[in-house]
Amino acid sequence: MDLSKSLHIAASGMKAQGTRLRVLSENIANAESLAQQPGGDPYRRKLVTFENVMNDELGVNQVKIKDVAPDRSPFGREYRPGHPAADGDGYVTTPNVNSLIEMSDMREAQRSYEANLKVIESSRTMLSRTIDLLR
Amino acid sequence: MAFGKFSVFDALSRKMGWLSQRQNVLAQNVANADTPGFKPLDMEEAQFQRTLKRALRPMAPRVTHAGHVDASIPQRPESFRSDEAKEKYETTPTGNAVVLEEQLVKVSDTQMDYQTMTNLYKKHMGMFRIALGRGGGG
Repeated sequence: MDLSKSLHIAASGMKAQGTRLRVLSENIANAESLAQQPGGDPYRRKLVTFENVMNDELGVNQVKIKDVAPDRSPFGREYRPGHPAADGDGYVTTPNVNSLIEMSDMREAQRSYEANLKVIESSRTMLSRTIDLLR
Repeated sequence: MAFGKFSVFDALSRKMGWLSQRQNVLAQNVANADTPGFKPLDMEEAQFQRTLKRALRPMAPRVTHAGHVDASIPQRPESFRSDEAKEKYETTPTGNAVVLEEQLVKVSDTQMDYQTMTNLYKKHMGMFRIALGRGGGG
């Protein structure tokens, strides 16, 4: 049935946004994860990309997480001579996580999640109206 | 009793089919609100002329003999089409043109239309109940 398909589509969108939020929280949690020894890499930010995929079983286009890829932007540098990972000059490399970017990304994910939820709500109302015809 | 034979029920259930397919298309748009390069789709407006054309099929030669070549136009399946929306509000740098607000307005539009259809259906059914003498409370 068409309306239950739209429930599936919206659910796939919610799932994708949920995964995005998970990766975002990984980034935020690891914003201060530095290397263990000199020359080692600190935490590298992860990026989520979405993809529109045809679901042959249902015959509809759903969203899927295409890839969780590392962000290739350069690491930061900070002067911390006492840190075990500091190099000869006393600098440590810091993760390429910008908490402002993560926060705005989080807002966007939340907004999209809510929109999907609204679609589910609306489809559900339409379905129950149809069932009400039996009364 | 086959209610599909009464034209009102037929028309209402067709419109309900159209609306639920539109809901499907809109759900796809909302779900893909952050997919790079995704362009929102929308349903083609139901038009009286096109519907009439579909109802009155074009005249076609009949095959009355096994040796005749069948030149009749194959019938199109009775389904609704969805096209790429013509007017787009904005496109993000990733090529995504879904505006959530616009889509949600359409969703609520569809829901309201659907509700109208089901209410009409109920009213019509109530009229049958009156005719059957069971009281038309609906």
